[in-house]
Amino acid sequence: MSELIELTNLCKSYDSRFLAVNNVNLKLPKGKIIGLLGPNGSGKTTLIKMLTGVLQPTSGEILIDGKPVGVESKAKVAYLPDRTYLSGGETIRQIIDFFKDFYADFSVERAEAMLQTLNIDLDKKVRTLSKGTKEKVQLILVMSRQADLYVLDEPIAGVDPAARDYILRTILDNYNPEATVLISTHLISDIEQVLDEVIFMRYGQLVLYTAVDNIREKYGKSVDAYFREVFSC
Amino acid sequence: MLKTLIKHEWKSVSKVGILLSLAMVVLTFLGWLAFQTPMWKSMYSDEMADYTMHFADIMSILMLLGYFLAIIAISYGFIIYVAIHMYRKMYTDQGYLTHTLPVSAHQLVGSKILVNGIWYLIIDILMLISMFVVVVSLLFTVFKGLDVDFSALPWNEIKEGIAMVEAEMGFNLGRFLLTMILLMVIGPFTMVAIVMGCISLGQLAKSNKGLMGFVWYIAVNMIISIIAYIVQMISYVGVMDELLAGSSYMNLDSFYMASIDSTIVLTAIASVILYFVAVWINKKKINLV
Repeated sequence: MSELIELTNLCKSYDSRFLAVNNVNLKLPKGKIIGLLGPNGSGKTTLIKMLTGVLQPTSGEILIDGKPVGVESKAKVAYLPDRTYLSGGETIRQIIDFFKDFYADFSVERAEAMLQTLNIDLDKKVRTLSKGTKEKVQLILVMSRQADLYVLDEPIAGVDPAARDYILRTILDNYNPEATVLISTHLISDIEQVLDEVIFMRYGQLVLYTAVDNIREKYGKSVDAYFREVFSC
Repeated sequence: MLKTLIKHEWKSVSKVGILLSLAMVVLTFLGWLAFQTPMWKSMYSDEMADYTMHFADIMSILMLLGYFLAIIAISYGFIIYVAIHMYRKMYTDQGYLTHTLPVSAHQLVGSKILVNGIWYLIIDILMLISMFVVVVSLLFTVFKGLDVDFSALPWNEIKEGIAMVEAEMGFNLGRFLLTMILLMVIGPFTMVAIVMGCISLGQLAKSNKGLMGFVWYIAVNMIISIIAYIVQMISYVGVMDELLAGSSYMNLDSFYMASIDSTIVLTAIASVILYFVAVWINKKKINLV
């Protein structure tokens, strides 16, 4: 079985009038970098949250490596949410210990090396870090895992171009090549050169799932240009 | 993974736990110190009739008042801390880490109840020890003035007196003490489980989830109190029936113990139900938005 993620009739509604994710059927392979693209409110984050188990589907099924979302899938998925979950009086070293204890695929050496590159003191308390540094630490923690699936929700949103480059470099230099990387973003131009495949979403529905090369060959456009055409207001 | 969860939860809660334990030690010292003023030393002596209060005596009374308020604040403060701590770790942004750990809902909920319950128990035990030390310090300070020889007290007569009261009132002191110990040991765990269950139930609301958790907590406690009151009334009717039928003594054992037992049993049942509710919500209904 080459599929890593299998979504069947997946729906999520927050209230009875609105479906945030509307009947999505999708099979994603192993070993690809996939862009989950769509305008704000298209259901990207909702879809990602359901994949990682922090949100329950209203209906439908999610299989990751053939298993429903649960203890086993969580051991294989490295998730970078669109918010900071690091807080409190713990030091970065203590958080590294936390990750080491819970994730068998976590590399302490890799995490420490990346933090050293950024001159981040391991004994600094998380609450003393700036928002940007917290986000970088969180990314480093996620990318220090040898996971089967990396789910990155808006990793480059709201950061300056230099930080954006650093984040993309960190992702590309550290991900497990046999793994799938699912990156949600609406900043397509910054990311499209690293993508193998793209998923377009609108109003909670799947609009398109195809290879990046296919878009270039078929429409003679970049992903960014094609996205603008599809989602023009 | 349960061990790992317990280890990290322990680390996380122990800072506050140790701080409150140290506060309890300091309070105990202050409580002891409060009884060392001349007023307490001359309480049962002839000097008491003409005694004028010193500044130290006023401070002593204020310190005692502060001691009892602080002791109550620590006990309630800890459970409020536990509620906020669990809510933050599980249902705010920090929940994005907690709920993506490769652990089961049973392990997650169980580890939190176990660790926070143990800390609550430690604080309760320290509170009892503290109150014991303060009361003993009062007795020694006051009775020293009277020059009482504790070893010369009529212990056998006291024992016989207790036995007589037990027989007359249908009251068993040993059973009562055992029940109190049981209540003290399981109480912290049932309390934390109920708090965890109510916080989790609050997550089922569409908005104001934290507030709804608090509402659930009040509702659950009200239900327990109402059922316990009904049980108490039933046993009260039983005692009155016995008296009206010509019984020579009031059966306090069946009256008070039924009331205490029912509260313990009801709280235990509620905590077990709410444990499973919390597990079910964390497994099937978790929605971090």
